[in-house]
Amino acid sequence: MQMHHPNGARRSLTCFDHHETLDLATYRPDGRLPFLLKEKDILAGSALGTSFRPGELEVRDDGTGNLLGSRCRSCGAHFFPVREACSGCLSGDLETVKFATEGTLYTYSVVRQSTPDFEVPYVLGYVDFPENVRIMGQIGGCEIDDIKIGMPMVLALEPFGEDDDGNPLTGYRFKPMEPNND
Amino acid sequence: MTRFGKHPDRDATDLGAEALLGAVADAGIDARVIEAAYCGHVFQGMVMGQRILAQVGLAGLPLSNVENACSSGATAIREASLAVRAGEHDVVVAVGAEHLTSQFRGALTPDPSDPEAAVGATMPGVYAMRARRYMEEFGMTREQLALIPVKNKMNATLNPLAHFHSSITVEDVLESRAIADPLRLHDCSPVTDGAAAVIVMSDSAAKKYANGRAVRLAASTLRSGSVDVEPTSMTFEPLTRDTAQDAYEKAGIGPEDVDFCEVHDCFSIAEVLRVEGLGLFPQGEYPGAVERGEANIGGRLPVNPSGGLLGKGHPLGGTGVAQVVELVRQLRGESGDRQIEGARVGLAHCRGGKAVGIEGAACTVQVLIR
Repeated sequence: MQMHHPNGARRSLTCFDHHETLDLATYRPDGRLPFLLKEKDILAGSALGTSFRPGELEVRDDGTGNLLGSRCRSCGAHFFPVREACSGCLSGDLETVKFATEGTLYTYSVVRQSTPDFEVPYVLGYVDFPENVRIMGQIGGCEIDDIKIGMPMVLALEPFGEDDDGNPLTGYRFKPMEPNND
Repeated sequence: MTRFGKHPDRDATDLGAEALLGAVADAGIDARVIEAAYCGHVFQGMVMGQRILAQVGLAGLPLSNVENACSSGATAIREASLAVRAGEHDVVVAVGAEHLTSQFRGALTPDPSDPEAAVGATMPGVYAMRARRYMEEFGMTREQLALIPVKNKMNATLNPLAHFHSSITVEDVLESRAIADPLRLHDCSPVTDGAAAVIVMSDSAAKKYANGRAVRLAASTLRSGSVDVEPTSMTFEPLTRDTAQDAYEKAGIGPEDVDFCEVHDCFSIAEVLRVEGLGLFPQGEYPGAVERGEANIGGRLPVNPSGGLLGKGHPLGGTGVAQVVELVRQLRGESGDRQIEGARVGLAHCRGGKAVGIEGAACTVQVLIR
């Protein structure tokens, strides 16, 4: 199902098949059943569109990307998303930085009821990054039973809906750093 | 206040008008002494308050509509109390109303512009994540968590105005539909229509008009969540703690003086986080206290005797005002089968909203003393 999003993008989302395997999956253009996207394809440029939210996720032509935020030049605090002033010291001297792509899972939940924008189920999680920021994202690329609080996670770029003209958009999910599925 | 529940044939204006007229009748005042109004709601469109006042013949008063997510109604009471304390008005009505069943179904989410909403954040999902973390840190069992909706829906059976009127068992909770693991349907407050209103008066107006029925609003405090400079625990609520501390100071009491409370149990886990944030139970110990019956009506510190959001229902704008209605009735000794004997100090806590990077959006604490 697709709905207009305030930033002009349209979202059509999932990350599951019906056996609750958290495959790195995306939707067919008809918005029906997900097909699997092999892991090696995930970062291939051909599968990537523009960032679903360019101010928060940088997507580069070589298939790499980073979540973006602010670093306070005065006190060193980091924030997600980009802020205009530092909540620690109120300095306005902030620079936009790229966050590391590896972090630790703080907590998670399998969401089974959501809005029409999102097909359920999907897994939400909070990942703590080395810059001392905690960022929410969906989790993919593993079995639900294998998800554990405290496990190392890595950022993965993935197709994440499409814009008004039907062009693919790229978003992100977190996946375990060493998935134990095949 | 109105009966809480599903009202397919009514709207927020109609419900708000009923609540407002009910408050006027309860106070035994002539509606013409009301000088100003504050109206809390979230999804009812422009100028809901004006529609309500027009319905009851009070159009023309200074009026502000108040939106603060699930704390909207409680914030309306705070604004009313500020207007009175400032000496601007002597008699002010605060009304909160929501016709939620006509506005949305399913899971409440942050504003669509929010970065977390963009990746699929839902309020049940966020609280489910907090529940999982709490279980990991403090060893709370799924069964212990289920005792909270069991308690609150039991209390609701004693409240004729509640959304739900049937008691449930732990098994019912565990077998109900999964919403966001580990939370299930009975762990979540329902989509409810309803409204509530209170009259806030100065001391001099209370002497003149209230016929001895007024209860003292000793504190009405509000805070909004701050941006963390580093990730903090999601199993404790500094925002609740700080808003409560403001209220305890203003009321000249401590948490040990609270006889009972109505707290924002939008989800079962939320009640745990609230009462521990309020300092009413030590961190990590509330689930055990519920198991021992300490939070029951008749227990050491009854929590949500009205049924709370889980049992009485959660019409967003109406919720915070209805909590204060419960406090007033308990402190007057008018609560019938759910009366807490000898209650002198009641506390109401609301908190609502979610935005990326902040612990909570809006938090209110009201202390009423007989």
